[in-house]
Amino acid sequence: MAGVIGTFRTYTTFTLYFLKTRFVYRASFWINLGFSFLFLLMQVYLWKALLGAGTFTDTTASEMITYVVLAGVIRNFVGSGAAYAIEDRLLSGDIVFDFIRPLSFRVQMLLNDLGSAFSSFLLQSAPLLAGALLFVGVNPPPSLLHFLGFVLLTLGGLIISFYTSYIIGLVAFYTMKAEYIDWLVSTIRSFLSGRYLPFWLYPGWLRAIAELAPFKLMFYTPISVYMGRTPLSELPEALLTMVVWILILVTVEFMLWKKTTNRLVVQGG
Amino acid sequence: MANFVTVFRLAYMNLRTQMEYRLSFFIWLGIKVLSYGSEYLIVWMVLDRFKGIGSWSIPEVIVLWAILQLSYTLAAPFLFHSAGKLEQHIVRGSLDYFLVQPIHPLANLIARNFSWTYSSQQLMSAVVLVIALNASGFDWSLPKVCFLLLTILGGISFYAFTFLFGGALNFRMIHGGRSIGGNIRWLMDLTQYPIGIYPKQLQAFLTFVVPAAMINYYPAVYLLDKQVELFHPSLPLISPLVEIALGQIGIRLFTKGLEWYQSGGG
Repeated sequence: MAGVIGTFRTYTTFTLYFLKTRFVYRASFWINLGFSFLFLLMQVYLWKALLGAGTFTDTTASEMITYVVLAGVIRNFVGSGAAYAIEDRLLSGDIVFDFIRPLSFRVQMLLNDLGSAFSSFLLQSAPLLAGALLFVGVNPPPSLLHFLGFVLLTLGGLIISFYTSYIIGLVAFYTMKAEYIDWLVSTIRSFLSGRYLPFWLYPGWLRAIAELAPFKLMFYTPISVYMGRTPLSELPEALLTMVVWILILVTVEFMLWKKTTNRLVVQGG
Repeated sequence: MANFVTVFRLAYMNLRTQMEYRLSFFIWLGIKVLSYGSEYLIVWMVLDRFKGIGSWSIPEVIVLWAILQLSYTLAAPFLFHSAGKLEQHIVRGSLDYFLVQPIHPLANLIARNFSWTYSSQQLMSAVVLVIALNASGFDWSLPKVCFLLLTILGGISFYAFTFLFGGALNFRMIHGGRSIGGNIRWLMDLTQYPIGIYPKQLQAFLTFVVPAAMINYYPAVYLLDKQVELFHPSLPLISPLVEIALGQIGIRLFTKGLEWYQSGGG
């Protein structure tokens, strides 16, 4: 038991350490927050201009504003930096130190990401949401269950984001560069996740593709549950899809990890 | 002049270094086209079912976005990495290396960090701009073409200003410079749609405080003969000149920043 607590403490220290680094540059924090709010306003005014006060076939301005606010809030903490972190450590050779620590490399990376997500939530998403609630207006969820579903799915989205980025990072063991693949996947993800538009406004062919990929679990699925667009009767299916995707990614990562670690060559000394 | 020749030679040397990894270089070009091209696709997806926004048609909105992208992709090869790495150089004290060489430090930084991978985006943005202008019924007369070129030059200058201003701030506030410069650049995204959709205060902010709307919105009003309400009728014509002046201010600020610099290395 003492061992488990000790390990937990070590891991928590990693997360707290990452949190602390985010608090160091205060000016940068306020600037980023101010600009984040401006970008959010841009989208709000865009949808107000496009949809006006009335209803346009299948969506309303207030619905779209809720969607873009929640997407903005999620965007601030869901992005994973694992791929770049691995590439950076590979190129510098620092990865050696990650391997000799008495902690799993994957867990170190995941905790780094969780620390980053947690601090981004506190420092970016929460103030952004508060500002949006005060000045823009966000529709409430139809019920508490919808909200809980949203929270669970968003956490799942965070893990999916980590694993996709981590797998891309593992590819860097072969190519020494993760940047290209990360750009490519980010581009594909921006379409297939519903980051900018909900699926109900997508052309049919794109929606069909987006429904098959895991990226929808990062933005579209949680938000559509929050808004009640996905009825509660479909929530178990959404959660199951999330679990299945996480399992698939964990398996891929596990297989890739076994192969890649055998290849590691560190230059320099 | 000697500076220009040296910069060109160093940048060429940089190209040859990058071309050593030829496959990787071309993959990069392709991915960048896909990534930036997708942004046009998103604008189209947003606007498609509404057939435009206000009095602006979809091709006209694409003109706004293409002017922004073309200006950015022409300024960034020179300054994205050189200004971006400045913070590192200041923190590590390695900027000293650039100060003791017989070439202006800014020119040296640019030459050594010149990025050739923007060429595919430049080409794509130029092609998209021409197609969108044609679809918007642009009049390809000599005065308008000259004004279009001046507009792009103004856009490049403003982006250069954001990089140089951010770089100069690094001499005073570490980390803040990159953050402010980067954020001002992202602020340009606010002008990817006609600023008429925003409330007057935000329009005034984008015109008089951070004149991002002068890169594309005001020039496009003249280029496309749009009848819209303006703060002043002269704004479309003076916009490129204001942006060019800002670019000059950016260079001055950067040079001033260099004077503040006190080496941290040893």
